[in-house]
Amino acid sequence: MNTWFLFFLKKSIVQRRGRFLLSSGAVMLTVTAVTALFTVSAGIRERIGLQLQQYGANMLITDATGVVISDERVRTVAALAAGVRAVSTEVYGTVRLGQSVVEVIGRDLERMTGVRMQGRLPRAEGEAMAGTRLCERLGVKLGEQMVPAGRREPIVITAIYDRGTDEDAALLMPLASARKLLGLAGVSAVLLNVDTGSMGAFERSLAAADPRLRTRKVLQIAVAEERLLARVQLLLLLVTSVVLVSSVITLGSTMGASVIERKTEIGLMASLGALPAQVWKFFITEAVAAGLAGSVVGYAAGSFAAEAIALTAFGGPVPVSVSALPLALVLGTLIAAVTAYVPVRGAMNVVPANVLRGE
Amino acid sequence: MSFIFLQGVSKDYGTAQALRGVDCSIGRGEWVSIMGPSGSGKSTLLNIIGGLDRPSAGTITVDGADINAMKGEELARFRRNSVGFIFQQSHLIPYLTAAENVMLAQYFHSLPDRAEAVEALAKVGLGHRLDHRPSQLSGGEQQRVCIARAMINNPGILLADEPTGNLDRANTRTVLDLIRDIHRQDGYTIIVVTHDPEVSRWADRSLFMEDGRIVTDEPICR
Repeated sequence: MNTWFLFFLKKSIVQRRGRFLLSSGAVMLTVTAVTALFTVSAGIRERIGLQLQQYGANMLITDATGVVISDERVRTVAALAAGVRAVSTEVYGTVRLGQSVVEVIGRDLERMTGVRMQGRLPRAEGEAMAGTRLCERLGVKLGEQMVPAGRREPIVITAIYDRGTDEDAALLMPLASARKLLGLAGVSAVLLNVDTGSMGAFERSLAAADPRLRTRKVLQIAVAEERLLARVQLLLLLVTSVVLVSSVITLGSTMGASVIERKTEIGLMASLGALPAQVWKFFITEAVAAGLAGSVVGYAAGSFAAEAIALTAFGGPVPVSVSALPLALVLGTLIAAVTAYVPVRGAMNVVPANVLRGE
Repeated sequence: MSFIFLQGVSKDYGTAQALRGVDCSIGRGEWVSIMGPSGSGKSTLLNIIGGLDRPSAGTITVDGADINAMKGEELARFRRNSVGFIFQQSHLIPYLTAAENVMLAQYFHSLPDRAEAVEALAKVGLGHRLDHRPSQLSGGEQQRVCIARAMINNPGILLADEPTGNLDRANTRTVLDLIRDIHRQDGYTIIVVTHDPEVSRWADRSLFMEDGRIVTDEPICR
């Protein structure tokens, strides 16, 4: 870009830094909202994906009457081999620790994925991992021992974990330990990974073999979350739209006021023989510069906002969306350029003699 | 053929008529003053000659070119290459220094040249005020910067609208001396709008306007 053009442009921006900052600020608000929406949407989808992966299962079997499933019945399920790729079992229950009722989940911890952990996996009987939310609630620390109501043997916390899900409020234990602690003769649920093409056949076989067992596709859980996600996204979209409209109005007013202030300058440029394109270049470049500045700051602010929203609403962070950056830059500069275009066009249509006369 | 030729030039602003069928010819290198009461159409005529406004009717040719037929870029080039304006309020850019204000005119013409700008300002006696902003200059000094800016691209025509209207006697004299030097040394064609008979007497010829018409057109005898 021409050095002299940049020289005069810089002088103009420095002279009107207040207006420049106001314009950038309006762009920043819009870009912040859009970046936050984009990042949360993309990140929440990833979280759902992670959860599905973490299960490794796409089907959940429980007893329709709510009783535990005996080991024999589990073997019956596993024997219905058609399409079943993997089987695991889990137990669920609660214990009382002091004044608090705490959820206990028993599973094969060695196969668990998608968990951040401080400490070591519990292996021996009486060892457990405590979720971060549980630790916050009860003030539990690593290595602490707690005696459940009605028991003599303490539970030792060997690890503190964070999965970013509701499980962070529970104790996780090896399956056998949990069964003993909860006094269960069987398991609460059987998790299967079934070939999706064979699901129908499997369900029919299971119904024939053990009619009291109820199947639920894990996808159904995901679908429920998807519906929730869709509603949250719609809400964010509506909020962002309101912010976008108000920002565009604010920016339009700021740009319009700036051009009105400078209409004498535009008239002077015309009297000095500036080509219309040269005048456009000055004003649109100033607007684009404000848009770029607002976009960069807005992207950073939007990424922070996305983390805050995800932590507050969904219990876990979302990854920073690098792909949101070009979107932010394009949106910000486009908004700034478009809102500058209308007032500049109006000013350019005014007869130079009139503005130089002070009209 | 006249350097500047106007035939039947009229200008309407809604129901008001600022110019009514003005005919006039101005030779190359002439210094013409246009006098008349407020609202007589003096500034309107000047702006139309300079391409800052367009007539409602009539023709204007400058050095053979029909100004009225020019549009957009062509008109901008005419202003850039052929005309230098001096305004009553000077209209300097407040955030640029004296030298930068002159260089802005160069920027729209071709390329800024600080050395040339410095020379132009020295010629108007402001070689020591190059880096001062308009707010740091007196009214007379601002007007001299305006003159330097108007001449920097060697346009050949200088149009001045009440150039001394805001100045005291001493500065008026200084500015008129400068314009006279430009006229004599560089052969500019100069048109000055003024309501001051003293200013008018510096010109070669005086037009008196009233109610949108040229009423008298007389040489100035000195």
